[in-house]
Amino acid sequence: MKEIFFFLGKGGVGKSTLSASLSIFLSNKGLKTLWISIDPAHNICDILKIKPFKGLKEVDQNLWIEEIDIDFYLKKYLRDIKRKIYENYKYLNIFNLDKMFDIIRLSPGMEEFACLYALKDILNNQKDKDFLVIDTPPTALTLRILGLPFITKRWIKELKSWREKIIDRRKMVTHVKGCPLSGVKSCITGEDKVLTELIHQQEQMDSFVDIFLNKDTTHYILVINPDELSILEGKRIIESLKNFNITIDLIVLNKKLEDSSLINELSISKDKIKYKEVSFSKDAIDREKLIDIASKWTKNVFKF
Amino acid sequence: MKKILGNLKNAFSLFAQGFKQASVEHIERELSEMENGFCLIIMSSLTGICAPPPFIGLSLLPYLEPEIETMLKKSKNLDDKLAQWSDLVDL
Repeated sequence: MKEIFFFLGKGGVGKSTLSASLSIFLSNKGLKTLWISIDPAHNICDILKIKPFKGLKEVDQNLWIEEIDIDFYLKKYLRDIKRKIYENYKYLNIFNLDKMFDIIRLSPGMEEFACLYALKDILNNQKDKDFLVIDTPPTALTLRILGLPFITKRWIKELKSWREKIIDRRKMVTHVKGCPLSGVKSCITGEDKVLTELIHQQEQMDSFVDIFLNKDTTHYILVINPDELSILEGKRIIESLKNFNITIDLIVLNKKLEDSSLINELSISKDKIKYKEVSFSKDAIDREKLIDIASKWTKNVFKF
Repeated sequence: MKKILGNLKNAFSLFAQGFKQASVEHIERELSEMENGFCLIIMSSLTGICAPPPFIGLSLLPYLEPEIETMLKKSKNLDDKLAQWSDLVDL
């Protein structure tokens, strides 16, 4: 994957339309493009006027699409955990695993994780594609998805340090008393599976952070409309992403009206972030129109 | 003379074992508290403590059997604070 594009913004500003324009524009140039949606309310198939389907499919020459099925990736992850639990636990009758996992699936934070899990899967299996264009859900969920690796890294750092202290104490006790320790397997001096898992998770989060912060390959496009609410939300997105050192590469003012008075009041600094406008169109937007739109807003911003 | 030295050696070895036992008891107690705390944090969404993302707990869950054992043992004794205190002060 050469480059990744995230489209961010308030619900209804036109993220899907602009991500469609970029995807079709790139594929039209003969570049292998994968256009995915991580918004639970997908509309890639609606835009392309095709019947929704599961998984990844080539819908046009050089254009692949996938509407990420969060539930599928969540179930896949939980199946893997369940298998490991059955391998490691002696007394499984104390758990009603299936019921427990049904509830865990709906726990806060799992949806964001499933998105990252899906993204990892795509990045690992679709290396032959040149571009990955990501249509995101409205602000709140997107910020949680982008922030998850950064927050998780901090937790893992603390948990690792705690775990290392536990291993240290176990070694001391084992050294003096020998195995086994109070009937608990904690004096096993070999590899600590918990620490190994924490290191594995840390590596995964590090790889996401590297991807999210790579300015050469990952681009963030903020879409706003000429209305106060979308502009205010846009500003909040910029500020929130600053906490993770993520910077917006381009702001696109979509659905620009000729007499939009609010445009002059747009106080997002145009000097620091590149800025483009896409005019409002009453006509139906077809494939040719989408290519035309993208050729304008990507001009002098991205080199394809 | 040989017998006296042998007895002394035995006595010192008993002393050493006793000291070792006493020093390890403290570390063991600290270890069980740390294991209990680690498990409580991992499963904190059940206990109302500030929680790491749930998938971290889930990823570690397959390997946490010893810690869950410790946690369950500790929670069984939560209603017997006097016995715990007696244990701590070695009564």
